[in-house]
Amino acid sequence: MNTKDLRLIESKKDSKAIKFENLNYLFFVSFAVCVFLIPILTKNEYYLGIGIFTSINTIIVLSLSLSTGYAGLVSIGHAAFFGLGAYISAIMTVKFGTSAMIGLMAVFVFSGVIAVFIGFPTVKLKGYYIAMATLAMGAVFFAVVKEWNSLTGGVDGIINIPRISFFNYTLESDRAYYYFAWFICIVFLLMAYHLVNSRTGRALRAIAVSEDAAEALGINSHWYKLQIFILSVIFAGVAGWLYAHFITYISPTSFSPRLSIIVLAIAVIASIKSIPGAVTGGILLTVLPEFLRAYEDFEIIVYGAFLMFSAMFFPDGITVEMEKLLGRLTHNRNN
Amino acid sequence: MAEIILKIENFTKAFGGSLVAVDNLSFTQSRGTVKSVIGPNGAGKTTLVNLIMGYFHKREWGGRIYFDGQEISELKKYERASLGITETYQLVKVFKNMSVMENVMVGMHSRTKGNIIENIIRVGKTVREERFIFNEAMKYLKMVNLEERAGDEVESLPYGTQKLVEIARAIASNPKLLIMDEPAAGLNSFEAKELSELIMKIRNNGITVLIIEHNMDLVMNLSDEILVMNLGKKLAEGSPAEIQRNKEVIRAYLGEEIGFA
Repeated sequence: MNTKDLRLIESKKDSKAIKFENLNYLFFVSFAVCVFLIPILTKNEYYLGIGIFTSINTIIVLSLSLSTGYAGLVSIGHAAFFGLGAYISAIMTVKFGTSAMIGLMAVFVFSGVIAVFIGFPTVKLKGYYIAMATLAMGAVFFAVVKEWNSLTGGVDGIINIPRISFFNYTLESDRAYYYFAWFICIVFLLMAYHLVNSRTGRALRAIAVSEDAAEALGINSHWYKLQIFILSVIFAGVAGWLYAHFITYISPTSFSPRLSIIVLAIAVIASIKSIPGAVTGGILLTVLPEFLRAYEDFEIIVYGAFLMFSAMFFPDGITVEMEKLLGRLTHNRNN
Repeated sequence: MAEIILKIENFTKAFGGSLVAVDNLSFTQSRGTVKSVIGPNGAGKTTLVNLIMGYFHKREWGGRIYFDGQEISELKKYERASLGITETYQLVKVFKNMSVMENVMVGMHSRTKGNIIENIIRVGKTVREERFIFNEAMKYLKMVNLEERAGDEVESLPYGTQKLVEIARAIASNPKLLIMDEPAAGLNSFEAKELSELIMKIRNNGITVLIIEHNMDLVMNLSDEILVMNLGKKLAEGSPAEIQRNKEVIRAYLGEEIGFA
């Protein structure tokens, strides 16, 4: 029995409900402390870089988890939304000379508006159709950034993207960037946790199982799917923003449709219907390419093999299966 | 005379242009009553439920529907649900990715207002609303004697218990009209008896119930009124006693009088 179940049963008494609710927050605090300690324990810049990429990748997987895992909107175009955030802020800061924070505002506004235009017709589609529509979106985005030389720099991309700065402070060091990126990541994880365990989250999870049954309870499925799609695009956009201002150079190859497929595969392997699963996904998405660097030509085959292995032995993904195993072990010990 | 809560006027629905599933059907239902719709397979009962629930766009069917004093013909399914019409299904549609408690909490959706921003930030209002949803949902679980199973994954429950969860979820939405499509299907005699008692409890709480059912014992014992359909048309309408005596009904659907318990 997991913590959530315990909370539900014990919640017959309000004080106990608060106690178990606090257990989940304790998990967030413990996780934040671990994240905080890593730069203190290691002085190696390479590991800091890995840590920063992990936070960015966690946000990407989290955004996919919200739309695909919890709301059932299968997206094979998430690299485009990630790239959208990166390009919007890069163009704002490099071409128009604004600060990265203004770039972030632009990411919110443009990602949100584009999500509304794309999402309004798309979220009405079901199953394979929405998957195909998002795949097409990813391909169109890739083609546009590659061909629109005057704005995006074409295949050469955009260079000299400034580091993020606010209140006259610039995140020049990787250590500062690490803390900033993880702060945003943990806030997003907390927001997502609140969301999936709320009225809105339950509505989305209901829609994912049966749109008919959800609507018979007064849930406007189109409106809820559109909202989560917008939120998902904005989260992916913010990940792109963090990415662009960290590596200070972007090009279309970083946001190819291939990335969308890899992100989806890893999200499924890590547990796409789980908030901690997003962290597992973020770690896998960062670490696996490092290990597979020498075998780049076979990369997609390796991901496919992992996916098949996961589907056979961990149908709910690694994280959820581990949670189940821990739950069983704890249960046995208590008995 | 009892107040009319549901009024159906000249319902007509055809599939593929030629197959008329519901043919110029009209009837009313009084508030706080249990009405059953019976008829042989293919009589158009499920299409009738789908029409009332709003599964079809208005351009796809003919006629009008009034609920609680207002016309709802043009309203979408979720809008009708928000006005107080909900349903349970012949084949259960519980939300398998949730616990028993969460299923019932979803039922509270139209009674609460928290939006995505408030839910993400978890403002004080959201915390209070979540507590309200939880406590109310527990009340409905107690009504179906499932409070001890609140934390269980709904998928792990037997079929009959899942049906109870579905009913608790439906009444959690505080409906004015509950449509139950073959509620006794797949239940054993003990479960069917419990269901019968539960439906009476729901009715006694002031909820109007419209039942589509084949189980004649259940229909005759529970119903204030029965509507008999055949080939999409109304064959007869009246009290259980009147229906049992109706020769046309016996001939067309029931076959023989001893079919009634």
